[in-house]
Amino acid sequence: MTLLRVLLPLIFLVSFAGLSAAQDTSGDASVLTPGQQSLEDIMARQRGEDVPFGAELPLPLEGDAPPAESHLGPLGASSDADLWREIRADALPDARASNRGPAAKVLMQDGGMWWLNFRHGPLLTYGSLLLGVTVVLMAIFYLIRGRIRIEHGRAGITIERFKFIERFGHWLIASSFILLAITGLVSLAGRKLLIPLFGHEAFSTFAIAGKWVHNNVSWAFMLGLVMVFVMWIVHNLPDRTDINWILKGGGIFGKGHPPAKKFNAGQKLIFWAVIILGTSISVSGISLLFPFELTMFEPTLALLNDMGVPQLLGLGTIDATLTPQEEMQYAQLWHAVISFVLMAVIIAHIYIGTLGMEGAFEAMGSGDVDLEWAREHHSIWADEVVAKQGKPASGTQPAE
Amino acid sequence: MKAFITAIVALVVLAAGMNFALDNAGFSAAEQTSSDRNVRLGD
Ligand code: HEM
Repeated sequence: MTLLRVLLPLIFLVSFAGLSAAQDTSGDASVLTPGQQSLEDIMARQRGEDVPFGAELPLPLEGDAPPAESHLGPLGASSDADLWREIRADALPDARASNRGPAAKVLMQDGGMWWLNFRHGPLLTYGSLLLGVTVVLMAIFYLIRGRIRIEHGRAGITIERFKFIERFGHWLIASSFILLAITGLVSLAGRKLLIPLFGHEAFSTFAIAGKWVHNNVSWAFMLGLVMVFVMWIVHNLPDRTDINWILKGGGIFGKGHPPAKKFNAGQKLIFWAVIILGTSISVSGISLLFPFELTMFEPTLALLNDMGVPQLLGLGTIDATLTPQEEMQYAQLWHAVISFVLMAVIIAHIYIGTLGMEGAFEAMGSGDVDLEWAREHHSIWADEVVAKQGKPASGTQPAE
Repeated sequence: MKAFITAIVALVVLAAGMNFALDNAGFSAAEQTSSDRNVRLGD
């Protein structure tokens, strides 16, 4: 209803403009106006050839149209095909709408169909494939390597690894991310996967609740992201120990562990993935939460054009004029693609933090880790802590 | 465990709080495209 209320006045207004434009046309009837389809075009498209649609071709100049009497369309002797081509190309300078929404004047939007197909097709297919492959890789890794044990057994002495506030920040970002991942996947794949399972009614309730959760839990994720960034960035700046750690493959296979400070190179990669991808997901999420308020892709595409990036890739200059709806579509795709990548990273992270490594979970559980675990996985850091504390915190015998 | 529980509580409080605040500020994403408050009826 609301849509009709918006569309009808607009179509009404616009058809007047079209009528008057169509009346004073003259010229050679056999020549198609630019953008007009020929029978050839239609046949070629049916053969599967890639023939551009009208909106992708230059628009007719005024007075270029064939004479009115050559058409017998719904408006009698005058056709409104040109008008509809203009509408489709979003090129109606005089369009006015009584609705004041940001995108009210875009009646037809070619990009919408491409976006919808991409969202239901490749995005879902390759996204789930990525998550599935990650889980399988973790399983294979577990079968080959097994659980990474504390090689020399527990020392029975613990040292503090993370303070309360650090664990709070971690669990804030972790619990919110997991909720966001689940509810996000429900809204992307629910139509295809859950409706057949639960039916429309049940899915609707679930999806509405999921949307509420997804929209509102995002703030906890952003707060957690900021906390983790501020608290841990000093420990995550790359340095020389990382090169050695990477060259030795983290000591994942074989005996012996390369020395590491508080975070090893692998953890630093996780940290920066969380910060960079998490920020990107947050920004695109905010633009989805406040529709049409943030314009990010048009300036980015224009900047890429100016820097000559698409030209370098042989794509030519890309069209950087986006309708407001296209901005939102790109924001949605970006949000989803980057989220899939971060979900894959986090699956690996959760594996190594729980099942994959003996003694790791305690760091985020109680905050204290076994001294031997610390010596094996973070030798430089462990020595520092011991030196600073004089002697380890609990379970120690008096020195004398 | 305490840090985890506190984080969950913070998450719930933050979610409810932000929803309340945005609602009170009169913000609705849905209304961006479909509000009849945006339409001039009559003149
Ligand atoms: C159930 C889910 C999770 C578990 C069990 C878990 C477990 C852990 C553990 C045990 C550590 C400490 C590692 C150490 O002592 O060196 C850690 C660190 C960390 N976690 Fe998580 N985590 C989870 C989810 C997440 C999520 C969802 C994120 C971000 C979106 C995240 C981001 C981080 C970061 C950035 C670090 C520091 C760097 C690192 O150790 O890799 N974690 N996590």
